Amino acid sequence: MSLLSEDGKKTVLSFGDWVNANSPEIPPEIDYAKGGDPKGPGAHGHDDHGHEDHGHEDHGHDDHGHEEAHGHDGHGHDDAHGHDAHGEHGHEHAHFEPHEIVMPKREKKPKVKREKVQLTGVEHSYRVFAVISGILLALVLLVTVATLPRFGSADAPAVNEVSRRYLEQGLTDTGAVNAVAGIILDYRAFDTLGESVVLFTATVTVIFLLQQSKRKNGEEKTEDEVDVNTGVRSLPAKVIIGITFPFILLYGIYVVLNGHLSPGGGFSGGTILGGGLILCHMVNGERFTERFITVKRCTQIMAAGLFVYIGLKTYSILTGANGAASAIPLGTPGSIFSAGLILPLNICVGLVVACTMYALYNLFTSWRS
Amino acid sequence: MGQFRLIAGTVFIVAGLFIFGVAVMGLFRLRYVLNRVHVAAKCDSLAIMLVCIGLMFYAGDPGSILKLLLITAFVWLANPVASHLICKIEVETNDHLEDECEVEELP
Repeated sequence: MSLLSEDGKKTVLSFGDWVNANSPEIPPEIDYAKGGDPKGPGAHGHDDHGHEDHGHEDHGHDDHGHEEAHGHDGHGHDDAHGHDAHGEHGHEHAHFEPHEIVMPKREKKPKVKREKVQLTGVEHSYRVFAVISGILLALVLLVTVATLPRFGSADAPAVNEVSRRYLEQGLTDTGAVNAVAGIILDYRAFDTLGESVVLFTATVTVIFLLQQSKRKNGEEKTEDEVDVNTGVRSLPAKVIIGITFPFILLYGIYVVLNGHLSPGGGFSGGTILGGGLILCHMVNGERFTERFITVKRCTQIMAAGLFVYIGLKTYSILTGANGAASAIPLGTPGSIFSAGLILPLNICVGLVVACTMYALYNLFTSWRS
Repeated sequence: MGQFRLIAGTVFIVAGLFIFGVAVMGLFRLRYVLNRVHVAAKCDSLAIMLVCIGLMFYAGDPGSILKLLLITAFVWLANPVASHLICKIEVETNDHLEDECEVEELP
């Protein structure tokens, strides 16, 4: 595309001016997304206006030279990113543009007015059905809430021998000082296994859905992908993440390992680990994180964690599920090697949660439609 | 708890809460995102430091003081960077930045 103006002066137009000159007529009733533009449609003269305001006193030759210089500037950028500005208008960029302050002037995105769709009879009945079912659901929920026992009343079904046993015998049964860890990883370990399998299944499903469509697109690298690979273009963020990333991981590991002694455990510690990995990926990019963790390795770690979990719990159930015949000692409550199987189970759950978070983030950011 | 520690801790926490209040007011009164980020970043850093110092006076034992120091250090590391990134996004994606504030063109 030629960005030269037509009056033969060989001034290079900025991209905004070029778009202005070459864009089709825009009907005047379209609202602009940013609104409040007093010049009406197609008012990219805005840009020129701003430059004149910047205080060049003589408007003649000097101003022209200024514009020309600026035009050159814009030209360089436009060539590099013309495709970006043109082809992907509707695309939301959730990351940084790969250049400094000066941006190519983009066309303002017109707000598309939603047209009224003529509904057929079946679609009308869908709407009516949706409203009726919503009202019914709300009624059912309200009636349920109204018939619930009062909070903390002694004859509520929740207050039975189970919870009393958890509180009174939990320490001697499981060896965990943290009663919550004792409940979710010893009394109700099967339930926790189900939750971990749900996370694993979700990750596998996302891999199925997203990696297939990635393969269809071929391997050409768009600018977005390059950006994902190298991360945020910001030195402070890279320095600070370099300092804090090891400590974030250390804290996550501490929370996982201390799950049977203090509040925390596999789920919260795994979330901290996964958040740290996501931060690292966000700032340093795929190129950096793929050296130590990839989506494939995430799935391997998750599968290994689940198998270890299943094996340990199978052993526990085969030996009576009460620790009596188990070869694993409960240890002294309060020390780090105590509470029998809870510590390794916490580690498994933590690994599964961390890998789920990181794999989902990685898949969704590296996926391009 | 000594009388001095109680009073000093209370003074610091109340000062921190006052600055939090100023920050909330600024967030609602100011119009443009860069001004609001400015308010949020500066006031949060200062107010969290003041509240942590007050809590150090309350706690007294070295372990808790160390943890509070770590919290302060983390917030002082993370908060400016997060605000910086928000500002950077605004500067790089706003096509009409010069309408909002004076822009110094980079060389």
